[in-house]
Amino acid sequence: MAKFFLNINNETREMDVDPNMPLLWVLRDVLGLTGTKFGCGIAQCGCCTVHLEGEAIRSCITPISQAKGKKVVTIEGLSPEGNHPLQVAWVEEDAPQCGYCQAGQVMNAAALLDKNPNPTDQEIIDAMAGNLCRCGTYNRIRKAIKNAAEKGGTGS
Amino acid sequence: MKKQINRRDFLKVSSLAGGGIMLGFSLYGCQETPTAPKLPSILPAAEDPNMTYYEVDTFLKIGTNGKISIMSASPEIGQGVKTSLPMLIAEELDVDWKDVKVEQADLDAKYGPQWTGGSTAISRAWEPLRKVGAAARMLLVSAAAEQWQVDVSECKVEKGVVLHEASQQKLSYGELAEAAAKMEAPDRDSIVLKDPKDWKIIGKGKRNVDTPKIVTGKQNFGIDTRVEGMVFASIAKPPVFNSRVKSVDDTEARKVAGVIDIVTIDPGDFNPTMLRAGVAVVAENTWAAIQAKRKLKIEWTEVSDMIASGEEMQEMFVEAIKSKSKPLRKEGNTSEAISNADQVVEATYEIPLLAHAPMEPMNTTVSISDGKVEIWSPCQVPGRGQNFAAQIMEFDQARMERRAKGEETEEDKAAPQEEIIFHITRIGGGFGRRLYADYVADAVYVAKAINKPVQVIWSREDGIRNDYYRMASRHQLKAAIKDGKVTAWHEQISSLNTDYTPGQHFGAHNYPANFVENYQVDFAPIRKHNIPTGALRAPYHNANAIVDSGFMDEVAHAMGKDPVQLRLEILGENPGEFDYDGHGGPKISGLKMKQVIELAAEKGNWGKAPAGRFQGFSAHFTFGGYVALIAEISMPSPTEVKIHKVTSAVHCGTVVNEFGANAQVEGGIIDGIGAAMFGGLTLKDGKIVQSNFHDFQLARQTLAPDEIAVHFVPSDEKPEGLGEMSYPPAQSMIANAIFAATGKRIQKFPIADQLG
Repeated sequence: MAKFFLNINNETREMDVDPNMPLLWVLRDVLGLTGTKFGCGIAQCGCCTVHLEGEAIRSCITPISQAKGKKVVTIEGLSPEGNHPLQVAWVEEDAPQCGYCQAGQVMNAAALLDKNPNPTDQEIIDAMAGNLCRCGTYNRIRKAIKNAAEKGGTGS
Repeated sequence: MKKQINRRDFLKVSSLAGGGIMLGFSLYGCQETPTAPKLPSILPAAEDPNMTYYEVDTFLKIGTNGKISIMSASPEIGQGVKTSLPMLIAEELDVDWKDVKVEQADLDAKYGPQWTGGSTAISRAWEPLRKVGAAARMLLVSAAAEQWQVDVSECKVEKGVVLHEASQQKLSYGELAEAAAKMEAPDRDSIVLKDPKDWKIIGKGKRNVDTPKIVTGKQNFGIDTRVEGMVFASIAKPPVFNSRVKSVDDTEARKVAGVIDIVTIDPGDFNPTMLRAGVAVVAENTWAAIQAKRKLKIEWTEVSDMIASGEEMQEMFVEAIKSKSKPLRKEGNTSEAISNADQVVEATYEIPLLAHAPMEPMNTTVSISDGKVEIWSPCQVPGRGQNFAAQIMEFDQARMERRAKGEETEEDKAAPQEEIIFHITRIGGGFGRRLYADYVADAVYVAKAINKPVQVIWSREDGIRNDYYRMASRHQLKAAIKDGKVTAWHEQISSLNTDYTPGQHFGAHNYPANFVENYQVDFAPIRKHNIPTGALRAPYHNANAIVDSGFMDEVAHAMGKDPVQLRLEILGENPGEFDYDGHGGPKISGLKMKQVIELAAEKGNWGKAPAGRFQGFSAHFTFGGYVALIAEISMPSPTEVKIHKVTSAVHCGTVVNEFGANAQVEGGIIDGIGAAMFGGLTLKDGKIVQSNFHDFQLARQTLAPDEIAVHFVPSDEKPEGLGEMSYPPAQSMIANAIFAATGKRIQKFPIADQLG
């Protein structure tokens, strides 16, 4: 066990945990931020995607020691007002079905648009290939990302 | 955060300033540049804390400011009932959909049966829920009429406002709610429902009511349940099915920081669909529980009737077909027709075990205190979950029922408290897995053992290796062709069935039944084995469609005929309706099958694929709905399948929610494509080989078609649920398209193993 400070959604949080505990479980079980989901635990599904220093990472395989002192943004912090262009586009395109994978999809897409504000269809497919959806909402996710890109995508 | 000056704002500013560009720009200086116009928030406005809701019906409350709260009693798994069923109420209530908010109901007898499954929720709710809305509207109109002292026939309703045109008076539902809530509900048999031509909500597209919460991290699923003082647990499960714990060495497991307790689960005489053996590690957090679980050293008992491998399974199937086949349906004489045929087509299809793998891992949270059991579970059969909990707790269920009805005996009054509260959470996908409440039972077992609130979480590996699988099956077919017609169709099936899910059998009434003179289906189920099988999205049909559509394609090819043309020839000009003994009956309509085949062929440009592209066709009837699909693919290499377009034609009766309906058809197609290409589990030494998404592949963005087109046959018959029906033919269309592209016939799955 060791003490860690993290900046999560613009708030400094302190915790005393095993340095090997993945960031996913620190978020969900220690800090009560359940917006980031557990799907596979081996970075194959993307449900656990958060931003670490602006990069999309899979929090299920990122030990807390790697996030120490860094800036983390989760789905809860992407846009507290709920008006990130991706969130607005996701509603317009009616993307989710069960919804479980969608936070990870949105976080991964947000990182894509931050780097590439006008991605082509193939760039979207390649960037989002790591995010599984069992309900098969892939086509709507593509449309939502293009929709958001047209709105000026990054929300900043 | 990057800030960019938006061109539109830049121009607007400079024109307002009246001057040149320099002036406009200098108003902002260098530090602050204007951003893109702010988008409106997707989150609903905060509710007025002073508003009061009045319960006008069990299913709906009306707020004093006119906000309508509709209870969704059915578990929402992603099939869209939380949006479409409230639409039925809102339509007859005559309110504006934007004034509606939907709340998930707990398990409560007052709502009637609350399970979802088998694509039945919408057809079951079709009349009753519209009557709920209509009855409430009648009460509100009565309340207004009474206040105005006029006759109800003089009143009309427009978007939640009752109007009396003659006197130019109006009252909103918000103003009438309190009075209406006190009135006697009208007799349901007397209620007249709207004419479909007057629908304003049904048949239109309404968006998933929970999307704003889902994309802001505010939507809780079962796994997100957090209860004061809770701990977390994960269960080490038997590597071979039906095995039990012989001994446990938990020394190393207990050393993991955060571990609180270790509990051995003994299923006793409980049925394996209720509770399985295992060893639970209880810890302060999920990760500690999962880490510690891996350090358990468990000896497991030997299992009788163990199937060791897929090869052994196929040998069992071959033997069963030879020696134990019994006809499910037998018309005419297929053997005679086959011996007299000009041409005989033969094929064998092998369908593998398949896991459900819904995105949200299995979980349930349980808190027990003084005979009160509180459960939070992503369960689509909450009644079954409650029943299992009562059995584990050894509660007297008859007493519980009497208490719920207020009919306690003297003995009941003196007996201890026995109460089960079941919170139905939003469910992160099901595909049939959540029909089994084993993941409720094991959490109740652990909670009872440790006397603390606990969330039992299954890892992904647990889920894939402890499923109730789509049963593996073998299908041996023969068709006879004589004088350019299909004169016989004979299918022999063997599959891994289970004793504890009675009534399971392959249907013998799928097309081309009723249309081929000599038709026979034989069945030889294997029941003595240890593999748990059960319902997976479109049970039986998820194999039948692969086999029927694949073999139809083979027969067409042997005859030198186009597969769509052959299907239409077999159906004939005016195909009729026939008895259908199976879920989705009581009838199967040849006409509806013909309609979807023709619609798909028209919209999908059947037979006119551009150069380098190949088309595959499939059509199937599942649970009341008819779906025809065309996949248009190309194959950049012998092992790569690129899907350009899928065209679908669907007959599902009335389309209630146009947006949700499209989504369900699309989703079933993608699921089917993934299952066909990659889906299949293998057995070695009695154990499932696959464990997670690295070796149990699913459809990803890279496989999804460039385009999916969905077309519905217009109908005002009652709606049929769309959660399953596009899945079965989606698997076959791919196999048939690959044949068109390569000449290679796919008869074993997954396809990826067969290519290259």
